[in-house]
Amino acid sequence: METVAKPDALLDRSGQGVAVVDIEALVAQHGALLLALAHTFTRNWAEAEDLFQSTVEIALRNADQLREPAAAKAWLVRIESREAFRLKRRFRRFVSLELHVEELRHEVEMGASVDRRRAVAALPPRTRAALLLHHYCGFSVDETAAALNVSPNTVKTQLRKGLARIREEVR
Amino acid sequence: MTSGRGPEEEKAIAAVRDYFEHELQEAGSRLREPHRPARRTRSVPRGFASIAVLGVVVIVVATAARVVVLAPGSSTPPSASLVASPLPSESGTPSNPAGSPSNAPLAGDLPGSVSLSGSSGWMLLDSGLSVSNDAGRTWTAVALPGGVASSAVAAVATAADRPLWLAVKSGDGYLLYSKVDAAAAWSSVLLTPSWGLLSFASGTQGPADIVRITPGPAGIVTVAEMMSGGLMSAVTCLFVSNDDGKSFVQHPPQSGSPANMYWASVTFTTAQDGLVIAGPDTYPHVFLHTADGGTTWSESKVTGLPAAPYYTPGPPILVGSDIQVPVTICGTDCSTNAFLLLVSHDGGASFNPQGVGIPAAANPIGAVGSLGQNIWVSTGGGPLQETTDGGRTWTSVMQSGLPVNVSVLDLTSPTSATAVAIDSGCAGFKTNCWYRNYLVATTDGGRTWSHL
Repeated sequence: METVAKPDALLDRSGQGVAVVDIEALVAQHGALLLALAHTFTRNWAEAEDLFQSTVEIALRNADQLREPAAAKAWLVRIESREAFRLKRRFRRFVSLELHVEELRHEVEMGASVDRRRAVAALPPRTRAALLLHHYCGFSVDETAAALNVSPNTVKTQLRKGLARIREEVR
Repeated sequence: MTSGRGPEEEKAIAAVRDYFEHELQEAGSRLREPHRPARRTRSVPRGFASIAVLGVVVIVVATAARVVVLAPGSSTPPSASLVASPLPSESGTPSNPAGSPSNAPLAGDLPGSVSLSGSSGWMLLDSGLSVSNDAGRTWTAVALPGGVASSAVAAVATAADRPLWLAVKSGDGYLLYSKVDAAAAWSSVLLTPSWGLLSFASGTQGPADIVRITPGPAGIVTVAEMMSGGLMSAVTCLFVSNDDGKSFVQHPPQSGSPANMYWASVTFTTAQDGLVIAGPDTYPHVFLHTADGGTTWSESKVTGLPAAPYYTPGPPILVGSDIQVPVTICGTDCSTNAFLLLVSHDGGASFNPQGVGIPAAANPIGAVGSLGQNIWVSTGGGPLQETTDGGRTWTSVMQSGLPVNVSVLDLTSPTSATAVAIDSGCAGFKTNCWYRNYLVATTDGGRTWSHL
C-alpha cells in the first residue's frame, strides 16, 4: 500500500481523499508562535492564553476557509491579530484600567536582565507585532500588513521606528 | 539578506530576534505544561489592591458563563439514567472520550457540570435543566420555559425558599424567567441595559455578553449584565430587586467608576449595601462597596492582611449579615499557600481577617464549604481543614477518598458534605479537553469520602 505523506496539519479524515484541516496539528505546529504573538499584544501571559484560546476557537469555526496549507501560519496570525485588536478597540475609548501591572513587571524583569530585550518590550504592541512577523517569522512587508490589517506603508513605518528606538537603547 | 544594513541596524534586529526567541521559548514551555489553571497564578504588586483572583477552576471551559442554580423543592424519584451513563454533555462542554485509559467514564459520572448549594444541586444539559434535592444523589428534569432551549440559558439561580431564576439572552439584555416553585408557571421580565457610559462615548449600544444572578437576603436579587472587553475590561449594568425579581431598579455603569471592570461576584447584604469583587476577567481582585444600592462604588477598606506577593479571593459567603471572603495567600513562587477568611460586619465597606487562618502548606487551597460557623477547606488531596468557630481556629483532618480536584464542597450538616470532583483529560493546551464530573460524600466529618 502506497503511503503518501500529507502536508502538515492536513489529514484525510473524510476517507474520500479530501484533505481537511487539522486544527490540533496546526496548533501543535504554530502554537508557540501564536502564544508569543498573543503575549506581544497583551503583555500578560494569562490574557495571552485567553487570546490564543479565542484564536483557536475562531480557527475551528472557520476551518473550511483555509484551502492552502502553506498559508496556515499567516491565516492563524491574521485571526489572532484581528481578534486582539478587535477586543482592545472595543473598549479603549471609554474604559480605562490602570491594572497593567503585568506589563510593568515584565518590563522590569526584562530591564533587569537584558537591556536589549527591555528595548523591544517597551515598544508599542503593534510595532512589536510587526517586528516579530517581519524580522523573526520572515513575513514579507505585504504579508505582515495583511496579518495586522494595516497598510504596507504603516508596517514599514512601524519597522523603521521600532528599529530606531531599539538602536538608541542598544547603542 | 543583511546587505545594505549598518551594524547598528543589525544589532537592533538581533535584539528583536533575541527577544522573540525568548518569548517563543516561554510560550513553548507554557504549551507543553500539563493542564494548568492559567488564571490562578498571577504576578501583581503587593498590597490589597492586588488581591488576586478566584483562581477557581474556571477552565471547566464552555460552562464558565453559566451560573446555574436551582431551588430546593423539586423532590423527585431517582433518575438513574442521568447518573448511570455519562452522556455527552451540554454544548461546548468537553465530553468524555471513549477509551481514555485512566480517566475513562465510570458508573456514577455525571453528564454535565454540577453546582451544589446545600442539599440542592443542578446541571444544565442539552436536554434541559436537571436538579437534585438530596445533594446530588438523585436527579430530575425541570422543564424550561416554552421555546427556550437549554443552550440559550445563560444563568440560573436560586436559594432556599426562593424562586428559581433563569436568564436567557434577548436583544441587548436578558430575559429573566422566574417561578416560585416547581409546579408554578414561568413568568418573565426583560432587563435591557442602558449603557449610559457607552452611549455617551461611542453613540452606540451593545449587547451584554455575561450575566450573573445572585440572590441576597430577604427578597433581594441582583442581576449583573456585563459587556466584556475580552482582554482586560468590562462594564456592568446592575439590576437590583427587593421583591424576588418582580421589579428591578437599573444602575447603569458610570463614567470613571472604579467598578468598570469584570465582576466576579456580587453580594448584597441589604438593599443598599453591596460588595463586588472585580478586576480584569483573568484577575478580579478589587473589593468594591456600594452604600446606595449600586449606583456608586468605592474600594472597600481592608486591613490586617499579612504581607504577601499576591492574594486570591474566593467567592464571598453570607453568614447572617456578615460577609466572609476566603482568601488564598500565595508565597513568592506560589509553591506554598496560606489561607484566611476576611470578614466584613458592615456590608462590605471594611474587612478584617478572622483569626490567623491556615498556615502555608505545599498543598494548594481548593474548594471552600460553609454552613454557619462550620467551614471546610479542601487542600488538593491533602488534609481537610475545618473550623467550627467561623475561622478563628482551624483543625487539620486527615482524610481519605477526597479527590485532588474538587470544584465544589458543600456542607449539608456540620459533619456531612458532598463534593463535586473533576478529573481532567486536558494535557498541554486546552484543545480536545474532556472532564469527568462526579460526586463524593462524607458523613463522618470529612474523614472518609465515598463515590456517590
